Amino acid sequence: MDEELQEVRDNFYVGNFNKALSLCESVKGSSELTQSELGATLARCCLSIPQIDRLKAMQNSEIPGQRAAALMAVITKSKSAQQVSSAKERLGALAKETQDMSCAMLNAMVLAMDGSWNEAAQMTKAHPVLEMQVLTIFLALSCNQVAMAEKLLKEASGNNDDSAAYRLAAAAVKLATGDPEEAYLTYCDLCSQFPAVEGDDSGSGSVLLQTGKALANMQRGMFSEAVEDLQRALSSNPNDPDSLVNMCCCMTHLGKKDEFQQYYSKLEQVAPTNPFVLKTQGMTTAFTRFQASLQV
Amino acid sequence: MAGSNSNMLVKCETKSNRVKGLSFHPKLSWILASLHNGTIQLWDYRIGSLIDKFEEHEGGPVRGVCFHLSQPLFVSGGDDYKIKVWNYKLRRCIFTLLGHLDYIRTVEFHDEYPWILSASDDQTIRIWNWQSRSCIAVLTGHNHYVMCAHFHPKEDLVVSASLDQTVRVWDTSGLRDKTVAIGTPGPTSGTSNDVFGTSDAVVKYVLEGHDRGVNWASFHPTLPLIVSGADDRLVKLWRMNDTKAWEVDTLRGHFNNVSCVMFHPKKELILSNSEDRTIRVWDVTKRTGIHTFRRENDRFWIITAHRTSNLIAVGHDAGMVVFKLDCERPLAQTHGHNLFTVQEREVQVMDLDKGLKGVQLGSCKRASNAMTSGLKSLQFNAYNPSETNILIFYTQDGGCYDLYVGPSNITSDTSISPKQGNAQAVCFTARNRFAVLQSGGSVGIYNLQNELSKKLDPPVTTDYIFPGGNNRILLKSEEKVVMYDLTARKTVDEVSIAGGVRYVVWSQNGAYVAFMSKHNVLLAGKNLEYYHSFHENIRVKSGAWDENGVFIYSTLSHVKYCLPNGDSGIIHSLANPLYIVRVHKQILHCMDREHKVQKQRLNCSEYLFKLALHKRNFNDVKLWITNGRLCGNAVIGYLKQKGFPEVALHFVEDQQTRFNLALEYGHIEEAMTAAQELDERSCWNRLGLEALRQGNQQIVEMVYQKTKNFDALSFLYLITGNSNKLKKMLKIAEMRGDVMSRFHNALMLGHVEERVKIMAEMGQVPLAALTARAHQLKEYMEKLEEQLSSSDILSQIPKRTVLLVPPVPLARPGSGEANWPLLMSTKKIFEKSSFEAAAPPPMPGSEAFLDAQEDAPEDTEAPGWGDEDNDLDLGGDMGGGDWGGDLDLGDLGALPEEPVHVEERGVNLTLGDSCQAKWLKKRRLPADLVAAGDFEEALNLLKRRLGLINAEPLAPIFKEAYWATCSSLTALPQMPSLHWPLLSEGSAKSRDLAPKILFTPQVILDRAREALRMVTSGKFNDALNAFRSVLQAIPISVANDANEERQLTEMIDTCREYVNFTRLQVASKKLTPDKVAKILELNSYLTVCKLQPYHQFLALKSAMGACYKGENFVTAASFAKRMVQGNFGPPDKTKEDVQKARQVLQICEQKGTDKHKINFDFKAAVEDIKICSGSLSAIGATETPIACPYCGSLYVTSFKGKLCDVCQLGEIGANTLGIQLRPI
Repeated sequence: MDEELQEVRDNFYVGNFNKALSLCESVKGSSELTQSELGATLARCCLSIPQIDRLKAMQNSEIPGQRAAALMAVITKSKSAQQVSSAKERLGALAKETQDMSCAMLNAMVLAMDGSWNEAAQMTKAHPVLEMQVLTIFLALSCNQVAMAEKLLKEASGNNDDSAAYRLAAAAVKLATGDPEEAYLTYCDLCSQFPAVEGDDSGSGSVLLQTGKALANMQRGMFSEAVEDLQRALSSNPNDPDSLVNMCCCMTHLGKKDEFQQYYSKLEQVAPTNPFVLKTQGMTTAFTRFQASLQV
Repeated sequence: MAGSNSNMLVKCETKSNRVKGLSFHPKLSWILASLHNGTIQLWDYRIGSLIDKFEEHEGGPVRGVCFHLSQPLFVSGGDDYKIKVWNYKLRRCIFTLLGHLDYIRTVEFHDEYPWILSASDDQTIRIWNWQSRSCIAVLTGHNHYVMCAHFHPKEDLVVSASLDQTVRVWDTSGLRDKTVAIGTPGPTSGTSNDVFGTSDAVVKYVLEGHDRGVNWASFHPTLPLIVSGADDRLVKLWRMNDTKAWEVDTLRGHFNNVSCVMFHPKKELILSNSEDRTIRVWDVTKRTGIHTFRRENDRFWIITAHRTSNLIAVGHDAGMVVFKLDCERPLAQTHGHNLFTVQEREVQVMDLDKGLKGVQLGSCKRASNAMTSGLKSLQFNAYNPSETNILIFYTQDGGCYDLYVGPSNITSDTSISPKQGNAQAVCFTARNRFAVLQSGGSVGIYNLQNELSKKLDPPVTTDYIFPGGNNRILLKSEEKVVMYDLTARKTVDEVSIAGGVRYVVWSQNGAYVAFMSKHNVLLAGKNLEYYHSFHENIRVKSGAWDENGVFIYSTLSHVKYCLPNGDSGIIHSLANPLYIVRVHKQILHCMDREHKVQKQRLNCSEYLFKLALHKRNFNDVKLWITNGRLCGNAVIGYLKQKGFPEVALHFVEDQQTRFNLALEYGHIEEAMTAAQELDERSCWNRLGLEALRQGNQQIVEMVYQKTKNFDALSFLYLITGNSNKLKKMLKIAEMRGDVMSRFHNALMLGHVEERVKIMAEMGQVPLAALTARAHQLKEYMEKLEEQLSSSDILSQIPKRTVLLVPPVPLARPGSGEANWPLLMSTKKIFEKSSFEAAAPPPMPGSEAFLDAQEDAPEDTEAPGWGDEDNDLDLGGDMGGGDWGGDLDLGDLGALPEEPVHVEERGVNLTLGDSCQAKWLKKRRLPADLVAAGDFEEALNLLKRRLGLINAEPLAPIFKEAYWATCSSLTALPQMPSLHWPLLSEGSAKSRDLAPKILFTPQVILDRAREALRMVTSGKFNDALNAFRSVLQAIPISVANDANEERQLTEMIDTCREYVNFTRLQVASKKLTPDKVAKILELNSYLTVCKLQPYHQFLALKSAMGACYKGENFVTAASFAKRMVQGNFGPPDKTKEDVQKARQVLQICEQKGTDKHKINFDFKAAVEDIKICSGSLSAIGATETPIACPYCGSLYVTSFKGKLCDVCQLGEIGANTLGIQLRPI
């Protein structure tokens, strides 16, 4: 079962969503479980690309993962708070009811978004598969528990160290523990193994991989190289907030104020709620308040 | 006292049967009293208690008793005709001398010879050798009862008195020659009469004169005089020389039989007492009665005096009285290092720091008598710095005083004649005033001319007055002391001193006061705020404040101290009473009863140690403990009591004590070390208990392992959820063959099979089967039930059963690291607030005490110390905690049958500290705050440090610095991104997180270099902006080491100079060509900016050119000269220009004029010329410039409070902390 889905999973995790999508459509699952995972992965690819219409059609799908993905789409895209909260509830209920892995995964992510880290971690426990372990590692990283992430990574090793998910987790942990060289090499490997465009040997990976690679370079103090990585990422997705954030950082270090402003404006536009953007906007308030305090 | 003895200074009074004989111990404060009922009492008259009783004389009175001068012996003679010699150490009679045939009246030891003298009603006087225990002489001659017999203190004489109306003097020199000659053994015969019947002791004189029987006769201690008292109610004085003796005088006064009479051992007095119930004091020289002490009902029988002290004891019908004739307290008061005393009725001043030799300043004018000096008090006027004012107060004539007014500097020529007056009491109240308590109870205020200036009626019935501070007075009203303000005419406060205050001692600075009554000491503040009081069982004598605010006082027997916090203790004991006059720098100055001033080293270690501890001055604590050789349980106990067992650990070496101490304050590690040294089971157990209390399971585990406490260990693993180790315990139990332990471990593990197996193995088959069935273990059920052919298991299982399964651990320690920090040990608290940081706890008046310190060591600790002190006790208060409370083991059975996932891994995810939070914990430089996005705090910090008043230029810099750390990582598809800040290189690995700094010293240097290039290429406007932005970025920089820090601070200076330079350039360029003078001026200023050599050269060149063109030749010449003489880098670059400068110099020197008057002193040294960065003009040489707190640009004072034009950040002249570029 694992072998037949490995390629799908790998491509999905490295961010080659189109490839993964087509694989999902072409591969015929041998069991109900595989089928269901395939369906869910397909739906999650639709989430990432994104293909909202297809997701809408999945709202009443038989595959719980697809229904979860549809709910996820509501949660991430809807502007109505009520819709979002009801979707969250339904997702939670769905995950509980079906005990489906993809549902649990998506639900864990939603819980993590809301800061319910412990509940998210509990969600991951029911399914002792590598992907879940990787998710836990990322959850740990998200809440600054680097040591725990390292430990979890150690525990996850040995199952399938060649899988993209494991290697991504390993790279992220390396970044968090201050070993950007190792992370950089991992991202390079993944880029060449899973090129964004089939047959491309330029080493250009998906947006996800390029961002990771760029971050590794930034941590190594190689901002020019990082800019190159980010430019490739932005060429495939000009609105990727992560790439834009990293671009702004690089431009600051390179002293290119105009470019910084350009990317920053773009970021403000595509991700107005990005914490960095909010903080930057808050700076004006801080300065105003400081000046006001001087007047007193 | 029952009697109405006028002014009797009673030291001790006892009640008993009639006292017939008395004897002072020569050294100790003991007195023997032999009673009419046959008992001999031994009293300690200093504390007034009966020490011992000797009751071996049979029947009737014991009339004579006497201590030996040096041996622990006394002798007694009674109506049982026996002379008994006692050893008071052995507390028994060691032998009895028999020989007298009637009542024995007196007995006496010889001071040197081993002789006892006894007088008896058998008309003989006998001399006994107490070493050979035999009678060596019988002195016959009296023809009636011999009432007393005494040795002469120096000569070989004996005086005796008899009812035959004679007094006889006997010569015992023959006896002495015979019996105590060196080398000759004592006589063997019972008497000294030789074969011819002649005696070795012969009568020398027979003194006849009394008309009745003589009761007593005694020698004068030094003169050839004898005094006798008889039933004719007379006291007669006799003289003798080598050949004869005669009556000198008769002292009349007693109106009944004179019982006893004696010369005073020191003063020229005769003391007699009588059955007329009086004691009379007579002047030997004047032969008149001076004083009479009366008792109402009791006849006096005996009188004796102490050999060395001034004590006198009398025995009467109902007891004994020990008293003094006169007060022996020396009059003294210190002021600074000067001691004012009265010595031999001369008022003296003595510089205690220079020596103990006094300078006389006047004499006491009041007459005294042989018995009393009449001196009561001496007071020095401490309020008058310009004069010496002394008041001496006398008790005689109903109270009177002498006022001495003299210059402040007393020399040997000084002789002050006092002014005199009558008073009940006197004291100084102000610089030129003293108060007099008048007999009517009113208080008169007098000036130093002894003139009444004011009179007031005190608010209370006043019986004495004491000084109360400037313009204040202390009014004593029985047990109360009222502080009365003389100017405000109102009462300040009052205190009560049990027994009534006798002496008042003010501290040198007048901030606190000590009151001493007979048995109490009370310390108070200057407004009579009550601090502490102490009760002493023995008389309080004197006291003085030392420079630390410690009150040192003496009792009759001890020198003691009292700390500001109320702790008190003994410094040393005293053989003889002394009067403390000053304590300073561990030196005690005191006076003894002979009025001699003494200087002693005072062992202050203990109280200085306590004081240091009180002040939390732990270095000193250590010092005193080690140097003062303080040790032992008392100090440990004190430290523990004060909550510092930790301190005790510093010097205790005994491991057992260390262990106890460490446990006491919960310092597990220390206790562990000690326990390992000791390695005793009891220690381990106690350590285990404490570790358990603190929740330190590792130690508990270790202890249980050490003590092989398997059951406890298993339970520990159970409650800590450590199922792995519990499994090991099961194995160990198997290996040990301990079935119960196996069963318990299995139970705790929830291993049903194991339990079934154990029960089956042990033959408890039904139980095993029951368990197996209850848990549905089919495999076992079948096997077991086969063996149970008969009984029906099912019927034994109740219907509503609940399975016994241990709970699943909710949380468990990772690799045994996780202790439960339920309790904070004292050690942790110490870490939190280090010793040095803690300040002394609050204490009434402690401020005042601390003020008084002369060398005031570190006593200026931060406030808020009270809280920390309270914290210190928490270790004890938190004892127990409730960590057992949650483990309600009663619920064990009620838990639902959850599958036991022993190895289930639960991840407890909680949001940890962000990197930002982590680095801010370590370091809070502006750059750190900005990178963490805490902009407002960063601005406020810069305000404090640099006087920031204009944040505007910082906005883009902050934005850059902030964004320099922003990064984002896509985690997994659909997962929120990870937002990690970029960290400085290597900091993630070291766990000492620090953000990536944009404006590193390198970046700053690079930017400055760029700006320098702009200067070189003459782009002054751009350069100005560039330098300014560098200047503005430096506060957001971080230096990693001292070198970088120096580079950055130098960079601030460089930037400032260049900003000034470029501003001058820009300003001069802006001027229209007609403003020649200003242009020249600005050009001249360029030359004083501290630039790089080449830029300086260029500045000089341009200034020279401008001045030359503007025809200011003298100024131009000065620049040319500097160009020629200076060293401005590689010569090839400047060669041409220098050449040119030479020419200009030559021409200018020829011309020698300045066309335009400019504000530039070219003669002044370059570094002395200061340019105001605000007005861009020179600051006058006499003006004091003010500076920008950040960049250091100088301004004239009128710019104070304005924004610095150079950095455009700081407030000119603001008082700030200064820039911080490196963590401290």
